[in-house]
Amino acid sequence: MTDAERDATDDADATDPAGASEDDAQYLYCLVSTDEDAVLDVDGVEDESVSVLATDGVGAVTSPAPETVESDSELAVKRLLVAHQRVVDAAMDAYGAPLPVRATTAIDGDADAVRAWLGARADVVRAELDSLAGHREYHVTVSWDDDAATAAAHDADDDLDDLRAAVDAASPGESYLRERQYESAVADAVAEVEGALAADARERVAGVARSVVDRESADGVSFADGSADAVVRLAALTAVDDEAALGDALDDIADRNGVTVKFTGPWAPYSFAPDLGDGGDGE
Amino acid sequence: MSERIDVGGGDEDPEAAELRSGLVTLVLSLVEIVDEALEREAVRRMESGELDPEEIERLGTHLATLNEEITELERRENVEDSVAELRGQLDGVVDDALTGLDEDPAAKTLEDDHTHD
Amino acid sequence: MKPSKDATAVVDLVDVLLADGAVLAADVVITVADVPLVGVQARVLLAGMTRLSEEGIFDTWDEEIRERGRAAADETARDVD
Repeated sequence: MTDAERDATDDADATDPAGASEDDAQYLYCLVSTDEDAVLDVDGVEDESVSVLATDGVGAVTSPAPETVESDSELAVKRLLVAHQRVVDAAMDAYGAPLPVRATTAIDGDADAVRAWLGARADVVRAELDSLAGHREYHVTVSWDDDAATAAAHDADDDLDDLRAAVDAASPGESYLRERQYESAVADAVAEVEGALAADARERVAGVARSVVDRESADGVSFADGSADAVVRLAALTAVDDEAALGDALDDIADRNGVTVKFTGPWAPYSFAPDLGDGGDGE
Repeated sequence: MSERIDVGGGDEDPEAAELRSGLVTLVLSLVEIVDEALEREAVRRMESGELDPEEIERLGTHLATLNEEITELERRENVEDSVAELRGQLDGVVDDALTGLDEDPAAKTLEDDHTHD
Repeated sequence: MKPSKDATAVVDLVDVLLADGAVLAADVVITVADVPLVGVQARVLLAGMTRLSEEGIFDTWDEEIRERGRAAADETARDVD
């Protein structure tokens, strides 16, 4: 990974619009529903000041993009993500459900460039924001303690008790193979009962939420919160008024033996943002 | 081929030690994978009934010993964690290939973006 | 149950922040950091982030990480690929 760097003249001042040069860029956090420009009372990336640039009934929440962010430094990455989330949350508090933009996005140019970009797709953005209004994203992570899951697997599959008994009954060499055999069988059985638990959780959440998706990890390998063993990770787009009902639905799952449910939110609808890359046809 | 690859001593040369450790990690990760494949095959044959009790016992004993030796070697070379990590990453790569996670064009757009001059 | 939104909950957001959100067309976009592929080791560090109050925690981290030296950062950079 290399640093993303932009040339900047020595006297370029990111906070002075009159000093804007061709190398300006505006870090973009999210889009909101609004008719007027504003300054948000929150620190942005690199502690820059955050502005809302309005055009045609929608606004872009931006701050002057930093010249460099060292992507090799975890600390720099953390700071950026924390700032990004902080600003999106502040925008949500001020304007209701925003349309979050993926972190590390900056638009080439100055405030006018941002307005031009936004103006060109204002209709689509407005329609998306109207659709998201009154909704929030909640995260549900269901985990199942190994012993409890194994016990459930044994209840579901009669053969497992016999296989486990065979391990103890056999002579040493055979016992080693019997143990491998049991481990393989129990792994399959546990996967099956976990799948059933996941399906149950999805169904209950879908009964309350408007839309439910599985949360992916950013690199397809592991999750930052260490929930490697989670049975299911969901993002649910839910009307704010239905938050309590969602919590109630999750209580039933959490009551099961050895099951833990982590319920977080309300977040901005990151997982339900459309693709604006092709001019705004979106999803 | 009777060549030997000298990856250098340990304490006097930290870079060489690291190279050696990386190679040992790779080799033992592969050995683990092969060992597990052998075990699966042994279980399959045992389940199919084509082995007599003596053969099962012998096979199981050999594999148990092999497993112990691999574990001991990893401990001695201090590569238990790095082997686990490498195998975890390999699993991730395989998962990606199987589920086509690599195919998200939006993700590629952002990753491949270069500085605009 | 009620949803939580504390610091540990924000750690839960990291994957979403990196992977989700509207994506813009390449011709207007500069990435200010090549972030998306955060490697396994970096993830373990991110998961260790249990308190996210702003300036104070980061200042302490700055000092600790500098003291540990660049060697650790170099190794992580290699693993991130």
